[in-house]
Amino acid sequence: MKRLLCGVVWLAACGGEQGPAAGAFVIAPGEGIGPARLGMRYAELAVELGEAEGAFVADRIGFARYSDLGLEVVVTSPEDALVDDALVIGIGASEGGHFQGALRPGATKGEIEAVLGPARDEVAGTVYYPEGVGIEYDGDVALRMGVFDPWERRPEVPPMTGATP
Amino acid sequence: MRRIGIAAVLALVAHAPAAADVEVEGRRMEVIDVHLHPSSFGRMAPNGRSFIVQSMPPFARLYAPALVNRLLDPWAPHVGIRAQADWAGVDRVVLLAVYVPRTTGYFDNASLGGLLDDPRNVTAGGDRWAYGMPSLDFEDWSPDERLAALESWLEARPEAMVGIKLAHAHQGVTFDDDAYLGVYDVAARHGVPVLLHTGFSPFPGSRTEPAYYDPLGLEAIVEAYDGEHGMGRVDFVLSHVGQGDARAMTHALSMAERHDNVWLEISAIDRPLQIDEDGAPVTRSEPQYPFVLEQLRTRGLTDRAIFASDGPQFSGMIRRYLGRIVEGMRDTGWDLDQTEAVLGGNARRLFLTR
Repeated sequence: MKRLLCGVVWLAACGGEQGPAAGAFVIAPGEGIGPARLGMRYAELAVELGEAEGAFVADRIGFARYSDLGLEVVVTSPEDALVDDALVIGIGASEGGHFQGALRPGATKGEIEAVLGPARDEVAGTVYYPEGVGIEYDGDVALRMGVFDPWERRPEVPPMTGATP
Repeated sequence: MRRIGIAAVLALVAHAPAAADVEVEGRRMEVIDVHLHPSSFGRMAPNGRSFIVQSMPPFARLYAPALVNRLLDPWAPHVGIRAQADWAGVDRVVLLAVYVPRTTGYFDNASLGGLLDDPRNVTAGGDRWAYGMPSLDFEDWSPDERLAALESWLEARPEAMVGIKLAHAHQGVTFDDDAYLGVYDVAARHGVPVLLHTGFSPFPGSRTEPAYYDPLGLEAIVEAYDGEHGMGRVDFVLSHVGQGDARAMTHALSMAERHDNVWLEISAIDRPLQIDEDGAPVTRSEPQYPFVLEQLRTRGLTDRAIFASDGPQFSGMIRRYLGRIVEGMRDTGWDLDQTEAVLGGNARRLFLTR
């Protein structure tokens, strides 16, 4: 349902009926950004956004971008090329794109934490939310955002349990 | 053959994962990787996670959960452990449980059991693809309860659980700490080998004193469990051959010469040595595997050496590591029988034919 709603938001925005946010993409943690959705094959993505630029695929992991949209995509691929069957596992947003909502490059940490709460997982200036979004900060401002599948925080080692026959 | 650039020596048939994908000088060989770590981003300890994320290219770090979760998932398309193994030409694998919250994190026995029971865990021929080794949590140690839990996995899943995994340097326990020795009784009762981390670990939080990583501290236990001293027999597999510290490497090799219940597992030896024969830090760039492979051959230990990668680590790592090792075997004068034994034959004999 949530995925459907996000799609509707994007479609409405593209229809130019959303005032100042018209044409802006929604960054939806764990789901996608605008028409780019996690789990798409590259062929599907290309139908939505066209051919990506600057594709770089090494050891079956690839990065490509849509500069005009301020988007990048991360894929896994069955070979070292951006082929139709490559799987979208990450979608990134950077300044230069047109995004709506509190989750957007350029937002302050306060704006973001008002939506997602304080991040509990941080490595060298990048925070990771289990809802499926990473945010690279430059000081107090979000520089890039990456959307990926939700992940489960499991910091506590579970008690050793025995096998069930 | 087309990807790793040692065409005359090793051929990999990348899209035929059914069996025996590696061909060395015209002979197809089974490859078994006995040291692979499934896990997930959410199970990583903060130190280990930080170490791993910062080892990624800067542009990729934003997506660390997505990349890590797929690389450490056996079933993820294109880059999961199964895909990486097939790509490398590895026929079968052993997945490891670990309880190392001081360094990298954990992957518990129950989660491992779930992976091994997955309906996708079959080869094209219909038999088991992945085996496993349960482990022990040494934190807040309560021996009776923990050893019973460990033993239950060996009792309940003997067809799948083929050994016990320990990592003293990561677990903060010295090799000779007698509070933890009950695990060897469990191994002896079930006739399973124990795979032990040896050698200097780069992970933050690992213990860096030799008592935690030099297998010499294990020698009295090796003798006690050699089958001739009333304690039963246990095969000890010294993972990484004591890499990183020349003293620990020499001890691992010489222990295997002295004791027929010591085996050497050759993962993680593509790094440079860090500590020399006198215990002093050294800065070298050459990998350790040429020396180790030469020593295995000249000391007559190729019948108790076992291939492993300690992967997946990063995409393509298993494939590259296997290529380096096979190339190293050629360069240090190994014959095809020796190569075949270490790539898969010895592992099959020790772990899969109990």
